[in-house]
Amino acid sequence: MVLSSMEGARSEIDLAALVATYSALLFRVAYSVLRSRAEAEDVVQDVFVRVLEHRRSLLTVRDMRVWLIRIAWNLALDRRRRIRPEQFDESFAESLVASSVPADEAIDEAQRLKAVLDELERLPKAERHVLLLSAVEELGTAEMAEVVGRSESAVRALLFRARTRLRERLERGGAE
Amino acid sequence: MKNADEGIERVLAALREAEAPEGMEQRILQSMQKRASARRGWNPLIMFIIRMPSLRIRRQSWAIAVTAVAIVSLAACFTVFQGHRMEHDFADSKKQIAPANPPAPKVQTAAASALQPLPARSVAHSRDKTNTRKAGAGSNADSVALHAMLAVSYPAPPMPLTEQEKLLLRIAHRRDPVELAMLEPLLRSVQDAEEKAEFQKFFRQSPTKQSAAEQLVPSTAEQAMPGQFMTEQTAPGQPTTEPTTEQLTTDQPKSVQPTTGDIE
Repeated sequence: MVLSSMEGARSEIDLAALVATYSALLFRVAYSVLRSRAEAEDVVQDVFVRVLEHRRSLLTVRDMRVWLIRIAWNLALDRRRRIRPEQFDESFAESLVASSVPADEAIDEAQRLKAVLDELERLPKAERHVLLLSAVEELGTAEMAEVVGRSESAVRALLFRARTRLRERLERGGAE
Repeated sequence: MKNADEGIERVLAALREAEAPEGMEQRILQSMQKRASARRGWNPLIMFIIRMPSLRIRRQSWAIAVTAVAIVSLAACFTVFQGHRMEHDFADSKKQIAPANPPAPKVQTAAASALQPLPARSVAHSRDKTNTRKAGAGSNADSVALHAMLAVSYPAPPMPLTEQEKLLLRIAHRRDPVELAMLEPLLRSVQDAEEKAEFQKFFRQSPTKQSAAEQLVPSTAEQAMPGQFMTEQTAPGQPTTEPTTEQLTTDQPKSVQPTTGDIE
């Protein structure tokens, strides 16, 4: 009786509640890869379409949150192969500069942030992925490890190497 | 060092603090609704599931199962009804055709009987049936086919012989009296004995005849080759393999000369 009631509770899949709970998180995951609001929203929409298609097998999903993040991550990487995220980086860097700053300083600041994004794209794939996932505040090391399919210690090592390499390259570029 | 770290942190913070666009959730729900309706065509049911969390998927599966059972039972009823109807039609058409075709000893082929029109009574009866059941031309065609199937069939009459067959028959069965007599073993043994006696008689006479003829007129060949002639003379018991010109002239009436092979 208890088991059947538990199964019944699990089988209640409220898609509207799923959208309300996870859409913002999934948007940030997709946005970290694509750096475009429109593209990231499309990815989130595709994630929930997949959920609707596989709603019969949702009961077998152990961790819905990680499962949804992994779908969003893979869909964003697929979309990134079709579009060029570099084309959105300039506007993204300009959006980061405060409007109160004078124009010449704002241009310098935007170029510096653009250089950071360029070096980020030149990192090795595994390091770049871990660094981008670490940008999503809600994700812990265990969840990141599940998404990229590595161990937690490997994720920590990759994250450290990514930061070190990025810093060195930026300093070298600034010195030149 | 400080600038690089600051730049990295600023970029990561911007990615971290990215806000979802206004109304994204509503747009996602609407697009899901559209896709579901386009793919499956049961839009109200999907939206009912999406908007009503208390409705369980188990209930939906129960409804699908009940519908499937109802469809299967309807299909089974329809199949049984069709089977009964076909059996009834078959029996009816059998009843119609049986009295219409008495087993008269009339030679007719199945094809010919199929081409014959149905008796008026059976056609009228079947027309009534078809009118009542609205079977139309299909029932009529069935009865014609059944009529052809149940018609009495006889073997075809023998065809007349062709000229070639007649000639062949004449050659094969001429009833020659000599040949018929040869079939008798007694007659055959008597004839064999006669032939044997004639043969022995001939070969008993022939060496004496031949030697007498050769003494009277020696041939040119014997003159040319006396050695050969002598060797032939040394074996008088054996007949010559080739008769000489004298022999041919003296044995003119006998058309057949026995050879050495025949002696054996």
